[in-house]
Amino acid sequence: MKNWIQAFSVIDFISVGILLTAVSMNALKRLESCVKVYTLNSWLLASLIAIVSFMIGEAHLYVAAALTLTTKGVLLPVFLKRIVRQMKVTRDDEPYINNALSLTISGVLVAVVYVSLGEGIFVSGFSRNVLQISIAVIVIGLFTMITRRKAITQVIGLLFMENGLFLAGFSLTFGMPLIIELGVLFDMLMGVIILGIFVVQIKRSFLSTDLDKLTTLRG
Amino acid sequence: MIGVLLLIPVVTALLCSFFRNRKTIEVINVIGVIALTAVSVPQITGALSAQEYFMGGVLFMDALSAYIMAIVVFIALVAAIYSVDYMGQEYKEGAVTLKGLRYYYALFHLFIFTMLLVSVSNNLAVFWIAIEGTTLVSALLVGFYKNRQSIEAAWKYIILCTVGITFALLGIFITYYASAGATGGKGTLNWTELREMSHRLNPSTMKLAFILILIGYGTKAGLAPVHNWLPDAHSQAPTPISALLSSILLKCAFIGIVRFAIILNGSAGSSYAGNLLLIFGLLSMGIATAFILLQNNYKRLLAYHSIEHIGIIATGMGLGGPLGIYGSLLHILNHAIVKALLFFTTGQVRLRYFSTKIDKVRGVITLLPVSGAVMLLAALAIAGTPPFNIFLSEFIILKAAAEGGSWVTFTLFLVFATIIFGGVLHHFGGMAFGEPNVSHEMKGERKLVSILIVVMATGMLLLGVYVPSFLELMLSGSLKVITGG
Repeated sequence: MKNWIQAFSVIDFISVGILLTAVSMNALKRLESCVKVYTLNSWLLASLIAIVSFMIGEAHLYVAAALTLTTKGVLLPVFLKRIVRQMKVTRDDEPYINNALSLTISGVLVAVVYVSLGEGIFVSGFSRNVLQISIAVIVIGLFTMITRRKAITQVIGLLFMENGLFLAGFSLTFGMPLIIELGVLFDMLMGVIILGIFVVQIKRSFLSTDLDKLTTLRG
Repeated sequence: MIGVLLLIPVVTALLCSFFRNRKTIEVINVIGVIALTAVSVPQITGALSAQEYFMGGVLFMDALSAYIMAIVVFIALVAAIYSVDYMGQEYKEGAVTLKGLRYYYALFHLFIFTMLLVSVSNNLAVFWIAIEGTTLVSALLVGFYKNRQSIEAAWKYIILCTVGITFALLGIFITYYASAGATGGKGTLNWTELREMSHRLNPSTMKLAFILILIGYGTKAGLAPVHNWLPDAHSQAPTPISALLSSILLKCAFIGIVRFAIILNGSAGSSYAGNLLLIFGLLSMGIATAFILLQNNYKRLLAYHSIEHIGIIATGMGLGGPLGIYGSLLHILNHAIVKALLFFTTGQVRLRYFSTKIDKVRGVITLLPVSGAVMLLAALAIAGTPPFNIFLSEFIILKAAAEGGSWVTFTLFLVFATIIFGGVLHHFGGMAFGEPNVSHEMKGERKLVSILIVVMATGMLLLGVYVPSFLELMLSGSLKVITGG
């Protein structure tokens, strides 16, 4: 099994999958597809952690993988889907930058991250590429947050950033102590729930889910 | 004992959300903060003499934690007492329902809990979790009134601070990686252990980590140019919460940067962190100066003053040396007292004039003699007028700049302070004097609030002329923690 994983460089395939799901977020207009892509991203992240823990034989990493799967892979997507349904807004049609251009820009961002971290100070244990990929996912998540108009797509961009962050932490250190991981996940879960509350309130008081309506406070 | 200390605000929050009677909730709220103060005093004095660890080293208290905890507890105490009156009046006017009141007090005490946790975290990740906790709880408080402006402010606040703090977490991961490299085995996230091994940590890795931490906690601390959430959040939150945000929350986040800078100083020498703090400190002061002059909303004006003063604190820390750090630490307390006082007095103004626009408010001294007079004194204090406490700490920081020969810092500091002085006189002078432009009928001032603000104003004056011995003890202890002497 271990040989098989190495021979087919499964770890690299999965991490590239994580990068591609993050990039494809820029091409999607239907909000439900965005949530699906995020779910896929989280599942890939969890499976990467599980496979690495199998490779190095660290039992506590299985728990981390299971936690990632339940929170990011199941709970958050279910919650996000409910909000999308409740909003009755199914599409984010007019991003500030059109989809073709933002796909190009995310490609450029990935290249920039690769070049600037190529000779970096980091050597990660299980794959040279994972750190670059994780930083690229963080940057693309940030880019999504900037270019999208809807409150909910901004939340999904933030979640992509956090997935990238977890991947970065994992590639640098093989995961934090479990209690820390639990605390961070708990904060994240509460954060998304509170953001969800505000998404509903924005819709209620601005009668829109577009963030460019939020201009009452200036100076 | 630390467990009891941390449990008190949580229990108070639960009780506040449980009861359905306004008087009961208010009494629980006051008992909660008084119990907190009573328990924290022996804890703080104990930590001053010797460093203490709790829960297997995850939590700890040294002199710096004790100092920050003392400020948090003090401001929590006055803000909780002030809340009883302020939110009570909002309730009578119908701006807040009973359900809202329960929700408010529950979140208030949870907010205090997260800040206490910040002050005693030894583990960097627990610190991070606590800081993110403060964002989540206080975002709900910023959006408390559920109108367009407050929802917008809360949204900006939570998004900006969460994105910022994501970078801080990356910085913490990198630190963990660096510590694993230094020990050759398992890494550590305990601040005390990291400080001991700091000379073995890779300096360039730690510099990268520090930049990420500075972005992350700097967003939360309100350092320019990542301060944009701050004026919105401060102006939209209920007044006692604005006082908490400005007086203690910003400082809690700033201490995160300081704690990290201590590790970096051991690894890469003190000039790197110091210079960065100096640059962002002066930038914050400069940007705040411009907005203070142009401001037409007094709550936003006070928010920009917070950016200015966090800039001053960062400048003092960046100058370094015992004098600069001492001044900076003293300024943390002084600004907390004066800013809370300003929010409390202008809160009374808002309840009387129903507006937060500066040009809609005239003749406060005539209508509200006590609040008006204290507001004017506190405004003079915040501008750095002697003999108030802010003058003393600003003077110490300036002296540190002069002794260190940082003449650029010295000049910029003086220029900004002078311009801000003019701005403060213009804005607050206009509000305090003149013919009142709302109905003249005297409602009489609230006794409780008057006593509270007069006591705090006395403190503000006393701290300007001398530093009491227990405060001196905390300051010199914290100074030792930071300089490592």
